[in-house]
Amino acid sequence: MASPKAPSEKLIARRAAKIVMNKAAIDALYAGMADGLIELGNKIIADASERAPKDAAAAAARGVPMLNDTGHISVWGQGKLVYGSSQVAAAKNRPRGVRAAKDEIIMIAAFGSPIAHLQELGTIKMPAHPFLTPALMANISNAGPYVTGAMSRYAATASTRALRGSGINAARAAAKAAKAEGIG
Amino acid sequence: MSLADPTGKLLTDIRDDATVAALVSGRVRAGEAAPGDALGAGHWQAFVVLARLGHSRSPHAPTQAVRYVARCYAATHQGATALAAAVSDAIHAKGRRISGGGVSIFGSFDDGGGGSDKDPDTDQPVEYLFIDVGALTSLIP
Repeated sequence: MASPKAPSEKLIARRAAKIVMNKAAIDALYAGMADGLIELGNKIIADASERAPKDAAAAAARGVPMLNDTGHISVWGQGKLVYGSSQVAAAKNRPRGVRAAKDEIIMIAAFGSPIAHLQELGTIKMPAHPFLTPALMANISNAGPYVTGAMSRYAATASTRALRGSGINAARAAAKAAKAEGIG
Repeated sequence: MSLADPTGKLLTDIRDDATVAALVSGRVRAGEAAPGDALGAGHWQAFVVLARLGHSRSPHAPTQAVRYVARCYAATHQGATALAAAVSDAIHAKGRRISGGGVSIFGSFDDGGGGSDKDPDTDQPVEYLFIDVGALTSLIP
């Protein structure tokens, strides 16, 4: 007789089916989270670029791109780069000191200009002109809808796919059974 | 109603800390270095510049989160690191306090360091320390 310690085969099958379904949902949620962070990161970079100092003449004289043109984001999921500029993708590494744990999704918004941190934090002879932190703080309070919206879209797509998949599997099984009967 | 600025209270907390005071002799500045803080190579002295980076106001409560960077300058990289550690000790996990002017801080935290660097103009060693402050948006009468 089945008991909690010795569950029936039917129960084991149901549990296994449940676990498989949840794994699919978690994958979709991770993907949704990454999508939401990409959207949020692009918003932060666009906002920071607006706030960044723009001196086209000085940049041209030095032969370097303008500070506000050097913003980029990268997103790391489960320890791997899932979205990033060609610069980050080519380097295949993260900024110094950033850890991407296997159970986390992280988004890095950065400006590649060598003077970006000096503008942001200031120097002895120049006060700070922060542009990235204000953009971050202006957008971080609205971060929830970006991530939850993308996660909901992925979850909906995943459940639709799962439904379609189970329908197709049932049809295939029925066709296989009919074929076997015909042969028999 | 104007938004209360906790910079003054935070600066006072750092400046009045005994360990920081012993290292910088009161040279804790807001925004930019004072004349005479930055001396030439071989005569470098320790000082701290506290710069406000940005804030986020809560839509649900009369509170704000304010982010600062403390630039800790010293004669050597080790000195700058020691100064950043002293500043961190002065403000980290410090609870509710109210300034004489009615600014109420309910928490301040060391949010990590930006590492050690050299000032691009003077080459003086500097260590960056990020500080998060939670404060009320209005003054307490």
